[in-house]
Amino acid sequence: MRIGIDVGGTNTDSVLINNNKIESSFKTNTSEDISNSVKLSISEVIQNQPKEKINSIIIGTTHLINDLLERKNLSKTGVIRLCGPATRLLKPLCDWPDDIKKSNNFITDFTDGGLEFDGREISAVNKSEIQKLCEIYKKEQVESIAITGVFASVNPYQELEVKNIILNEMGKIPVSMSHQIGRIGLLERENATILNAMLSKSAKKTFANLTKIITELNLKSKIYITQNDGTMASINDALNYPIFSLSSGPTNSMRGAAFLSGIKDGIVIDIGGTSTDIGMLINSFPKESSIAVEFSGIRTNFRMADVLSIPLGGGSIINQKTPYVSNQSLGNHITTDSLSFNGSTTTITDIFTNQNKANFIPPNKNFKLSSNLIKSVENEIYSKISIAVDRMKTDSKNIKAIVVGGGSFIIPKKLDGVDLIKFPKFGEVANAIGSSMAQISGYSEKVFSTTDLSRDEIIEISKNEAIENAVKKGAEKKSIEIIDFEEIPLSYLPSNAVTIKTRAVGNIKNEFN
Amino acid sequence: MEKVRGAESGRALKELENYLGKKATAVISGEIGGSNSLEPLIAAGENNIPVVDGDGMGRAFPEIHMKTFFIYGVSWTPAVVCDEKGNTALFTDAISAHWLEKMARAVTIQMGCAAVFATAPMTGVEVKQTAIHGTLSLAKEVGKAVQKSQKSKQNPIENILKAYPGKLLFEGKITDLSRTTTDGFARGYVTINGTNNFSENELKIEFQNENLIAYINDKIECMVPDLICIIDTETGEPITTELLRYGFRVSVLALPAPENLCTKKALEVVGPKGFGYDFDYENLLKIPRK
Repeated sequence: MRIGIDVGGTNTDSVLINNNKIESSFKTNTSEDISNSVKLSISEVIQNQPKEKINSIIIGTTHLINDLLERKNLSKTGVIRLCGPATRLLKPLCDWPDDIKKSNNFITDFTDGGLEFDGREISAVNKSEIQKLCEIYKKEQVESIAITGVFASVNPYQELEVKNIILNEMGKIPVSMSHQIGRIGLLERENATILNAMLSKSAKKTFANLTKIITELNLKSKIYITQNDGTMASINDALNYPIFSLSSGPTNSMRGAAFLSGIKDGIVIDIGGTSTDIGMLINSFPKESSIAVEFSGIRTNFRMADVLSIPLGGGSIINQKTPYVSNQSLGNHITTDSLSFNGSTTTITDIFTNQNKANFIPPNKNFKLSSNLIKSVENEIYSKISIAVDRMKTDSKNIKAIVVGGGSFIIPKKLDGVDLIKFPKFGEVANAIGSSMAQISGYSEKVFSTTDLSRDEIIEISKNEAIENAVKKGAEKKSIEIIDFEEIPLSYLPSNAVTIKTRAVGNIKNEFN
Repeated sequence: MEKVRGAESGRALKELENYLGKKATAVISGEIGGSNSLEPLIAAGENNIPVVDGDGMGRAFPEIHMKTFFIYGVSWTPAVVCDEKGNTALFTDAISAHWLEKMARAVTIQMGCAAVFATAPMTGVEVKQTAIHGTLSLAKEVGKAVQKSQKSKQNPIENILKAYPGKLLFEGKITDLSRTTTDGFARGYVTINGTNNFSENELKIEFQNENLIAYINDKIECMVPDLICIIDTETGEPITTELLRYGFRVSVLALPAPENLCTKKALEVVGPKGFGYDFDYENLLKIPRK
């Protein structure tokens, strides 16, 4: 049995899953210290089940991103770029917001090292240069180090060499290496690596608390943390790569929707009180964004779900004239200020409680809404959702849609371009279910020259590397599938260079049947 | 993407100056498309001289001999190629701009596929006569239009067309893509199925690094040197041929090429025949040129 928990900004949702069936679910407010709500959730969903049967607890949290936004618990970071004479015109952190540069002390340096696109060295690593930097780091009490080598994705040996020198000089200190963090694209990868290094203190604080709960509740379970891309990481990996767990909420709800509905390819509509998130599922995983992802004003290039968020939810306030549905929502105040709860504001929810179409019985039903208003609001919802769905579709064919989230009842039973809509049971805790369903992934991204190797050989090397990476992280080999493959020719290069990206995912070993 | 600039930009200019025994009073971009538009700003900044607002293509083209400087008679040598490691290659003679391109490419690959190229020393009069004027400002305006649209959630396509008057040729979703890389060029075609006002129609674009010919339902609607730009409909960001991918929602803009690219002399090089087509350029856009 396993428990899935999603710690959101307002709610903490949890589910207990046994043999792919939902035994129980629980929803509570997120407490100031998230460990309280996590502890409560675990106790509630376990109910009378024997504790030894709970073998894993999988948690998604927004705690790290909150620390980043509030600039707290961030590590003092040493930033090394292995570049030799190359790339020196643009310094590390050059495009970061001023306040974050100031809120944290960085020490940044260019050093010898770096590779060409084909793996030749720009220059070799200079051991004494790194040793000298370590002396400065010790004096300045640096807490975490970020290493980024030019074209380290082609061959990581220089970054590994530098990490070893640092560990020898400084003992135990978190070291982030760019080849494990980001894709090709120096500045974005370097940004992500620095972010990762800065978050090591926050990650330690968050995840150490979570481990403590397990002991307190006398459980023997393993804990995992969900990542931005729908896969999970061990506590150890989450401590080493906190950046991958920065934003897993939207992905979890999409994964949960896929599980609840049995639909592998389709569109997920997750509707809450304030907004609706819409994203495409491809082979049970969210489609990734093709645009650079920004965190708190810092540009990165790593894997994130492509989600369209529109201001439409159960709490959306209704205007007196067209367009009736406004972009404002009552949010948490819906339970005090809306007509259904004896307040004076008309919301979308009231349109539905008035017709007995909501999934709950409101305290107040004695208000009258004109049939014209009801019809106009329903039409506006229909067209808003249909347009958003169409924007996210990847081709013009009709698709299947899955509706989850607390506001599901406002979604019409028919939409343009959609030939089947499912409203799965337990849809309101889809995000926690998504957490419990998380898988382990392996990734490979490299530039190849097609003059030395055939295309088939290149693809084989890339796939094997992705599978190996998944196995290394604990995936069961026979369950691994290649779910994403992409080749990008690098033009202007006569050696026919090509970038190959491959991603493999599998179930965690000995955990799920 | 990976090798952002080091000291090579400023040095390329100095090496050329050393060979000529003269100081440059200004620099100009050879190509306003892509990163080449910003290269002279780095060299000028490092050497503390001004940049001329203009370039040698008014757009992007795949090869050196397609620059207006050379089409209108400026010499392509001497030229230097510099890398960040301190290597310099000087080309004192090349029998054609095409040969210069081939030799410079060979050197660039050895330098790690990223190098800075300085060429075409010109007098002020030559710049005035052969360059395409005002393109640095134009590129900045187009960029501002996109940024403004993203910030204020306005339609980026409309704002781009305000900055660079042209027309919205098509809107749709990429449904087919064929791309092969040969001799360092990405050749192929992309097919886009229409949406909104363009539904039931199909647009096909043939490209060689840059988009060359656009067909709507097999009829040519825009041809090189007029610009065919594939833009992300939502963000207004350009989608270059390397980044084309199935499923992208795009708008295709047709923008009139500057006058300098449409003379008889220029069309021999940068018109359809310059790219191996057997037909002559025809002005299908009928939009005033700059």
